[in-house]
Amino acid sequence: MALPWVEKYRPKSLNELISQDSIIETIQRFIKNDQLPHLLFYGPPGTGKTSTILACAKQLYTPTEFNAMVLELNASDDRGIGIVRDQIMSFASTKTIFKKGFKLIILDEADAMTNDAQNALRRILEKFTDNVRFCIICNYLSKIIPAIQSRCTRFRFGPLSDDKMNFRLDHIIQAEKVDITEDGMKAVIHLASGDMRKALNIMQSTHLAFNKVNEENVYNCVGHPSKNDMLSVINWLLNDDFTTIYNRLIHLKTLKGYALQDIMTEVSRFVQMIEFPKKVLIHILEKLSDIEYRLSNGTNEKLQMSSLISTFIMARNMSEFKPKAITA
Amino acid sequence: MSTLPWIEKYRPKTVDDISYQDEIVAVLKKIISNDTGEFPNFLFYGPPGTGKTSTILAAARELFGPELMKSRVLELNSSDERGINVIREKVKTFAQFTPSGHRSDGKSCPPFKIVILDEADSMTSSAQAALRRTMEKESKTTRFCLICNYISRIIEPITSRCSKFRFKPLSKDILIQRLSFIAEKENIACDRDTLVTLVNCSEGDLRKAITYLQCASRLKLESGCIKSSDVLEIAGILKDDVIEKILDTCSTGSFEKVEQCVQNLIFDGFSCNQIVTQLHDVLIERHDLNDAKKAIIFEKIACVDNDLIEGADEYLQLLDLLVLIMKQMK
Repeated sequence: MALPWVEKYRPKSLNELISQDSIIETIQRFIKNDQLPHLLFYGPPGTGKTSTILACAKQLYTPTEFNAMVLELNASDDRGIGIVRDQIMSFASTKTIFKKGFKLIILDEADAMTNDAQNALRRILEKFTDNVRFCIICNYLSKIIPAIQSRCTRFRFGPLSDDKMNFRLDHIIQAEKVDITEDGMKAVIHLASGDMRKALNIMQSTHLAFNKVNEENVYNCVGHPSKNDMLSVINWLLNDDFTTIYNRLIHLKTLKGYALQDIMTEVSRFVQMIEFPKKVLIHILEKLSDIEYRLSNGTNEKLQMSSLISTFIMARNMSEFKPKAITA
Repeated sequence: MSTLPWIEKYRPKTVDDISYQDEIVAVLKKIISNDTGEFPNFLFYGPPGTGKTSTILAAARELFGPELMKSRVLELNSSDERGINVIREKVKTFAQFTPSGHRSDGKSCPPFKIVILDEADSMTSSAQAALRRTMEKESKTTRFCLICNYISRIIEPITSRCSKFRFKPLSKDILIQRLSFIAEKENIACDRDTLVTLVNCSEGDLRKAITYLQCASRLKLESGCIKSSDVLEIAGILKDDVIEKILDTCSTGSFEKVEQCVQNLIFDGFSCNQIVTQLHDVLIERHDLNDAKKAIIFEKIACVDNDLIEGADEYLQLLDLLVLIMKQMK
């Protein structure tokens, strides 16, 4: 069975990693001086946290040692306090015979661990330092208890810049012979917003479903409002009367199956590109965030959509506002 | 007389019975007819009541036959517990057994099992994340079919592992056709007007429409004839003239009258949510209010909707809304 591209093109060595130059450099130096501390990686998904540590592990251990020396636990494994006490403890407290150096325990998606489990971990972190190194990976630093944070060296992984994503995607496009257009590429990068894994997943599923990766197919594939649709939505919101906007939006929503939440995200992006007077912009953004909050409470989409229209009608009636048509 | 709810009784038995969703029907037929077991993971998405669950159940029934259905299909919807633990335990153990390629009646059947995850968009994203490894690891023995309303609520790694199909909302003609077929089978007399009302009340959701039809038929068992007013009553929908009356009361500008009106509505047992939604629909089409006034009203409606969900008092919320409408109508 063909592997998903995310796994197939996971960087094999530290040199292949494109994203976080300074972090890689620091870690390389740690390894060279044999002074690797406990590591704590945090940052948004798809920025290379897991890839970095796996590449590290591959550099540290030969393939035959790998299984004996590395323990990887992620969210699909149970990771309650029992596992910490049994599995992690026994792995950490035993030495491999005829083997120098330390073992590596990777705790992926550690923000899903319970506080109890994290508390159980902190003594283990200290007690077995001469035998084992931990790498704790999470999205939200605040979900990790301070006691663990202070025992680790922290690295923040920022979202990838567009150029870097472009560079890596190009490589994969050539290897997989993907038929991609320039606007398709732009759409992939736009939708991924700094998440490399998302970019690859979108590209692969579009490639599978339509063969040709262009802007329209990408948006179709993820069910995200397309740029053209959003452009007309914004134009309706800025120019038409209430009933017309409502009927058009309802029609668009049922025809294309867009979720209001996605429309809202796109609207907020567009709004910031238009040069509104500050007062109008503040009004719109504030109301949009209110609607978003109400939607997340599970309110009726239809009613919230009217509220979205209201926001723009009110903005149009503000004294500073001058209506105009928006083009790309 | 069978006591089965009609939505189960008239659920499509074969893939051929599915109305309107041509693409997926064509794909499924191809899979069923050539038995190669080339069944990908599916992801069905679209508005409720468009046949997503029915489609996969019908396909499973054709593939496995009625006896094997139970052992080969695991159906989990959001009424089952579906946190990360269930994915780990239940789905993993179900997926681990290897099924044989024969049915008890000697016919061959595909050597895999199907896990149906209904309403998958209400799964937590950590549960979805736990699923993705399982989907790959068990791909030899198990196929997954995820069903959801909004595809954007499913995490990317899952969508990229599935063939996606969008279910279109059913057109009014299709709904009416299906409803009149059921009405005929059940010996219910109802005119076209009633059917149209049913369709309007159910907003393109066939399941809702059938449920209303069955309720109405129970209620009117003696007279044997369903009128559109019965449907409205069953659906808990206010008649148009009630809504008009509310708005008329608002336009008088008298607080006492509005308060009296709200009290009456609450005593009549109408749900506040329903009243607000219908007021919304009527007000959208009103042309005697200008857009600025509409904007203020609809902003308020959206807030009231949220407050009601958070458990606010129906009487106070409705009063608040109607007073605001009264002010705007002046």
